[in-house]
Amino acid sequence: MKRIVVLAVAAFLMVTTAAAADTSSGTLTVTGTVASSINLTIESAGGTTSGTGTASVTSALGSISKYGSAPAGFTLARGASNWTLSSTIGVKVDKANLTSTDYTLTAQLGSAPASGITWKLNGSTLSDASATTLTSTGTYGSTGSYSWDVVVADSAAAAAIDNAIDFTATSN
Amino acid sequence: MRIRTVIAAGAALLLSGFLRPDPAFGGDRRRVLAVSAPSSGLELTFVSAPDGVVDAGTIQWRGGSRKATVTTRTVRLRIGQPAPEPRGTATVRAFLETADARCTVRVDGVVLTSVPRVIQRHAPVGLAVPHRIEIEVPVHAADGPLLASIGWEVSSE
Repeated sequence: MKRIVVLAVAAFLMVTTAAAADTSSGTLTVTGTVASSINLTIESAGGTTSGTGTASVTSALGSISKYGSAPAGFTLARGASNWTLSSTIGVKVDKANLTSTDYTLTAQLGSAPASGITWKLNGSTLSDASATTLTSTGTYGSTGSYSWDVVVADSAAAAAIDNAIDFTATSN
Repeated sequence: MRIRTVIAAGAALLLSGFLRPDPAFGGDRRRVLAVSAPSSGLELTFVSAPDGVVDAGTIQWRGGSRKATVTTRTVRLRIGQPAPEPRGTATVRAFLETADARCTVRVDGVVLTSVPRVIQRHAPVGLAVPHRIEIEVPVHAADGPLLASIGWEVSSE
């Protein structure tokens, strides 16, 4: 009978000592720096465009002339000694991790305009020498529309008018 | 009579052991008759971040339709001493020990909170396993230094 009791107690010990999961822990620290930024995109422009919605857009006007038809997205107005192609450029500036409430937008030609050609934005003549302010109270997240005129003098030589308009947005 | 009493007591002891509820199914009674304190063998090592720090660098939004910046880092976590073959398996859990309210932290796609969540079951003990850490900062979050700490828990299976 003693043997039965010993077996019973041994079985109990076997059951009760099983299990109790082994555990461990550790810590991983994550560091970094959140930097503020703004992002400018050209949302629309006259002509046959490519790259809209990005910061680098190309607008092809094709062959233009005073007595021809206006390129897509442009209107053509004939004057006494010149003619003007008019359209708009949509510029959007988004912000991230920034408390600024508005921005200043400027534009500048990438190179000197061809003789007899005048580039205008919002009625202001652009140059390659200095930037022209288009707005100093731009609203983040909304597309601002700026009138765009290319004035061609009747005296201008028949040649390419290629140029670039460089926009710069600065948070206020 | 005395012998019967002893037998009955032994049977009762046996039954109490066999019928004890399994903790995995809701039972919470602990078996206190442990033979000895288990030697861990499950210590955690961040193989690719030996100082226990992962630097996400400069987190800056680059534009686009997604209104958040996601920075990804990979850490290799080893459980126990290195071994050529797995020496058992374990469950890995993670949680935010220290949260930075400006960001969301995910490990292997699991969003971390202050409550431990399972990251991996059957993780091999002895082998380094890569885990993907994502730090997501929305565009409306303030700029400045970011600091969070991830707590890891490992339990044997």
